[in-house]
Amino acid sequence: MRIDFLRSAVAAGLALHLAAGMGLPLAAGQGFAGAAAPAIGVVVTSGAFRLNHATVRSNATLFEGAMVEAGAAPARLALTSGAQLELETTSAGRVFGRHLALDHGAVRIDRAAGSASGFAAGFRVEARGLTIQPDASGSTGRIWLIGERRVEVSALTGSFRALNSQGMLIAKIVAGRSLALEPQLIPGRYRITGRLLRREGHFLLTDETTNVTVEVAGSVLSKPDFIRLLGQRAEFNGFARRGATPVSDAAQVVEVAQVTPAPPQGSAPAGPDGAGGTAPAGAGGSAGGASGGAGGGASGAAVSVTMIAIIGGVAAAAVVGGLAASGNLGGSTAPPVSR
Amino acid sequence: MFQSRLFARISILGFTLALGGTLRLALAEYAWRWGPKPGAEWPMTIGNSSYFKDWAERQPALALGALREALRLNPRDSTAWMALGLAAERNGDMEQAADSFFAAEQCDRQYLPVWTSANFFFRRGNDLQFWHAATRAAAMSYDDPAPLIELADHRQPGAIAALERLGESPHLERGYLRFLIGRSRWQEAAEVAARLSLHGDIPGNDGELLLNFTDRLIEANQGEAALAAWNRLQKFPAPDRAIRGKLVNRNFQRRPSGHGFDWRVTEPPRGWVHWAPSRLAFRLAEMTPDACILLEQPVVLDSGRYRLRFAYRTEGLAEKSGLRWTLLHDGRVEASSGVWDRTATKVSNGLVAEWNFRAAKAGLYELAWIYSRVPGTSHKEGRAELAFASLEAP
Repeated sequence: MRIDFLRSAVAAGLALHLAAGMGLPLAAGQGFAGAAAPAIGVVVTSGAFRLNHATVRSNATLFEGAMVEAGAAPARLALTSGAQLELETTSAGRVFGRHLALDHGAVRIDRAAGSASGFAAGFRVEARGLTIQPDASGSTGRIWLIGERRVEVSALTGSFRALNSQGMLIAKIVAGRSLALEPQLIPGRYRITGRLLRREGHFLLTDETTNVTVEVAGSVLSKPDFIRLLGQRAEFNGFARRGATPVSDAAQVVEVAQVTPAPPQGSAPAGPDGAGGTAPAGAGGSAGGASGGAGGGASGAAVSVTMIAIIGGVAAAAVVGGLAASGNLGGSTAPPVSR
Repeated sequence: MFQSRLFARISILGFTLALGGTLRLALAEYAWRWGPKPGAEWPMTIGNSSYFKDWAERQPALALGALREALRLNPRDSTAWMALGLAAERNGDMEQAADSFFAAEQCDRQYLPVWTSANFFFRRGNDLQFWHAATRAAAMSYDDPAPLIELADHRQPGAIAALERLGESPHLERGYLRFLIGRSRWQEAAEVAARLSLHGDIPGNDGELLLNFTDRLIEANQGEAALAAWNRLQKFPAPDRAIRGKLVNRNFQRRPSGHGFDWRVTEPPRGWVHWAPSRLAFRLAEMTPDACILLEQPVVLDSGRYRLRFAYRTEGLAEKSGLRWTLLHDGRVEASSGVWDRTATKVSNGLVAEWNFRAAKAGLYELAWIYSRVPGTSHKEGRAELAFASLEAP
């Protein structure tokens, strides 16, 4: 009896030892063992890259907070969370288990696993005070830093949410669309355009540029001619009302200071600040931009920027023209227009 | 005649075939590198293994098949084996991954395959295999060993123990020292620095590294460790040992280095500083700010009373020169001398004065000679010289 027990114990011990020796996956995470191992993933490239300022060739193990700088070849990051990213050439960022703080350049999200239980659980990218979250594990897209302040988000498949530094939803980017975002000096400011709807006594508006629905409120709403704007396209200027809870579906309550009827979509009159409507690539207002590629849409695609909004203190401009939809995100050089 | 014609025809045919083959290879290369990405598969029919490796990178979902084909074409390609191992690991096939990394090491007995294996076994939590690979990688490492050291450091608590497992060498020791300094792990860094001072190139780069380490220890208020590190550098430019309660280079025989426990000299704004053996002279201008530090030295003190004796000379400055000594601790002024002109004793080439002060507690202090204009006096251009400064416990 005792001998049987000893045999069993020895056999179990040997099995465990062999399993460890052969590197069989003992832990739950795919491809990584290691309760003791603090590794958060692996980085692979066909050339050299810098890891915590040391030059490394081919591949390396990633730890929490590792600074990765891609060289002449992109660096592919596979994380234990299941997220897969590609840090484009000469781009750099600090990698954490659940997010990447993009320092410069661009990153492509090839897989944002862990999102099954909701977007908040998924991998996110932080850049210039903004947080970009994939909505689902299957979301793929590209986040690109332009110039000193701009962040461009392109959704290839699935959709992404952008949050400002206060965690306020400022944009939803759906597959095939690109949005240029630029934090402004005045936090909480809104300038949004859309059709006004009334639901259960609340006024709701979905901004055409950012796809974000807000509840509008304020003394302007009690004016008699305001009601005539119901169902019409209008531009709303105002500020976020702090501490107010919006009705469901709305991300924020906006205290409206000014409402201006907007022309139907397609026509291109200048807005009060000289912006608005649809403008051809490189033609828009204060575009500037770091890419400097005015009118230089990649692959000759008809790229244009349109619909400037300011939401939660962040200027947003849609970059349209099918680049994202075609999947040719790498060459998008169109300067977005924002204010 | 017939034979020569036949030979010519065969030659032309051979030449044409060779030319065609070369053109095909060139076209394939062109199409692969610069051709449109969709439909770029035809060059792969050429049978070049590098195309399959590229293909694996472009299409991660098809990587395993492409890499196997690359290896069928060139089984000695270690980069393909490594890529196959990484792809297999990503897919959860750890056995295939381990086999591939082993094959890579067989094909290429250089650093990269061993480094890749070390990383793999680290991620797998396989200590035995990890150290086996890491030790071999460490022996071959000629570049920055920081990434390898980071792996070892995660796996083995204690820098010295990790170094012993990796295999000691000055290359690893200096890499580990930089790694520990970057993480402000002073105690372990001091242990590694002690080893490096035995094995390293002290008159060369290692001396500079250890001197910078001493400065970092002083900045981090690690007085005892800084003293030990400084004193280990006696072969290198510091003939003065640093001792608790004593100043280094007290007669200015050597040019102040500005490092470690030696004097740090600051040129007064709009003035100048000049050193000659046993003489350090400052020129103060009328435009010199109301307060500035001229000279300072870190010193480790026990709690208690101390006497600073110093020889100095002024020329052209106001009667109340504004020159005084200050003792700083953690950036705060602990004690400050008065303007000592009245208590000074005249000697042949200047004045000798004393300043008695008390250190409230043991630790690292900064003794500074400062200029601070005395209220009611005006700036006057002039010189101030120090010939020696020594500290003693009375």
